[in-house]
Amino acid sequence: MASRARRVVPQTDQHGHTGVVETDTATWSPARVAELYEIGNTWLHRAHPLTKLAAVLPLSVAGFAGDTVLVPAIILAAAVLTLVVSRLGIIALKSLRLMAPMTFALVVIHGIVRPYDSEPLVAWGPISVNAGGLALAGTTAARIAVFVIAVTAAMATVHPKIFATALIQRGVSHKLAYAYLAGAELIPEMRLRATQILEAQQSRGFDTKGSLPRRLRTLFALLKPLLVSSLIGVEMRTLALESRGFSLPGRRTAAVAVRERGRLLQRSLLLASIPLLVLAVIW
Amino acid sequence: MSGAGLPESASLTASTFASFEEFTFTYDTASEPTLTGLTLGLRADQLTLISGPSGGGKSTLARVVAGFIPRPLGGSFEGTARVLGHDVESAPPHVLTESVGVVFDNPFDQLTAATSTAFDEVAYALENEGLPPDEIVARALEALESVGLAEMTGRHPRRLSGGQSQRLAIACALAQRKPILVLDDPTSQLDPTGREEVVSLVRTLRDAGTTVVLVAQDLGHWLEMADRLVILDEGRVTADGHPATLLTDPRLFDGTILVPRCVAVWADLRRRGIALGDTPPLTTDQLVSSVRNLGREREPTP
Repeated sequence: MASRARRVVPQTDQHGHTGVVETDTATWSPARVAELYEIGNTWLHRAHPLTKLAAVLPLSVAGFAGDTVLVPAIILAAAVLTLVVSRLGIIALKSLRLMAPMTFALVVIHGIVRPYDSEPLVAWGPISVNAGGLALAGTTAARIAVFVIAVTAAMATVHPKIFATALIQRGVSHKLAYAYLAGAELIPEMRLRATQILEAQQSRGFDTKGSLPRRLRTLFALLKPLLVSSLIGVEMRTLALESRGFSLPGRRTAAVAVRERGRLLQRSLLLASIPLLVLAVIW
Repeated sequence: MSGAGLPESASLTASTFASFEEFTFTYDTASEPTLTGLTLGLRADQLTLISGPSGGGKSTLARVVAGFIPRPLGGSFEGTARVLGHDVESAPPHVLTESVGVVFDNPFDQLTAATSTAFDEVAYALENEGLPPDEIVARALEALESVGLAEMTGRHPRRLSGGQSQRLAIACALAQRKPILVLDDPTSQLDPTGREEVVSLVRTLRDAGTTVVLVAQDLGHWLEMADRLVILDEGRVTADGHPATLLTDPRLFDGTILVPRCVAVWADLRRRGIALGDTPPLTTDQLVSSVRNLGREREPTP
């Protein structure tokens, strides 16, 4: 699938911040810059990365207020609406797509499998659907969805590198920041590695398409070389990182300096979580 | 094969940046040592080519020079190894990695996997050094330009070809201004185009006076530019000297190293009584030139 990617060049902006900036959205296929990141220049993109991260906590806590689906559903609807109005509907879509399998599992577990005292809404032999179970499944799914949409919106509107830089500038260990960056690249990395192995296997006459048993056989044939090559890759990457000064003591800098702002707002958002937590507990 | 060239003295001279005295190294996961009683000195401002059969200890030697042994790779050793005046046993891991740049054989696994552009990949090392942003940008761009990747600054590292990835790894070392470059079989996984790109870049670096330690199984592209050839077999130095001198020894043709075709032809003709000079040609062009000269010598004068 073709996807948009950023082209970056080093520049100095009007504030004197030197760094790389996005200049176009050339089409790239199939590897993506990062799985989650969406290019844009909306108010959410322009917000400080840590402000967005700080907003996740009160939003998620607020989702637990009340014992019905009402509050999380309102927050969820407001979040979706905000994203759509901000031309970030794709993020809402991604979040809801992410939630779909979990919601289905919750409905099955609470609505069908788990027995409740209430009268079943529908019954097909041994299988019955309970209203109470469905309500619990809906409430739980909505609460999780609030968290998922908040995290997705925060992470999809900041390039991983900028987010990592913001963390390091606030004193977070560069090793932790690396873990985040490597994590963001992990899925495309593994996908590329798997594609290379599959292509190598196909070039040797291994049939990777067809019936389900054949596809399962392909999967097992892929797993071992994928695991082994990943392990070998880890050792080499460790050495490459050492060579790039990963273990050097001292302060880290960044080619892209994230402008320091919004500290008060970030603290306020974190503090707001406390009364919201109290409200969620007592309500 | 001992006697093909005596191992150089390991005494630390002004121009020797690495010295090994009776150095024996065993990986934690191995029962047998990979390097055995190695005595060797590596000189600065030279391109030292290290070759030999698989498992002979070439990459391990490169990793000692690069500061990866004994930490972080681990292992036990006897004897002494000093690189840039530091005893590798007691030197903190970053002391050597600060001065020695490394390029591995796999073009892709040696990338940090934490960056999304070639520029970021080069800048990452400079950020770790704590350099000011302006200097990071200037150095990264300069390094990318010097390896011919100026047009690729915004390209994702995974979208580079094998040859471009190797050049990117070299750019990282150049941006860090590392005086020594260790290349561990940098062309073994590249297609002909990628190989030519890397060979050409290494030649440029060598001509500029960069100290290069190059590990290679296939000597074909490197002999011409090498100042010195060291053959390692079963962890020992079995031959050491200038390539043109060393390759006159027929004992090196027993499969220990992949002898380039031009040298093999020279040796074969020599066995058949046709002398193309006292030293072997190190490139095809030199071979062709020798054959032409021989032809002229044998032409009957009118």
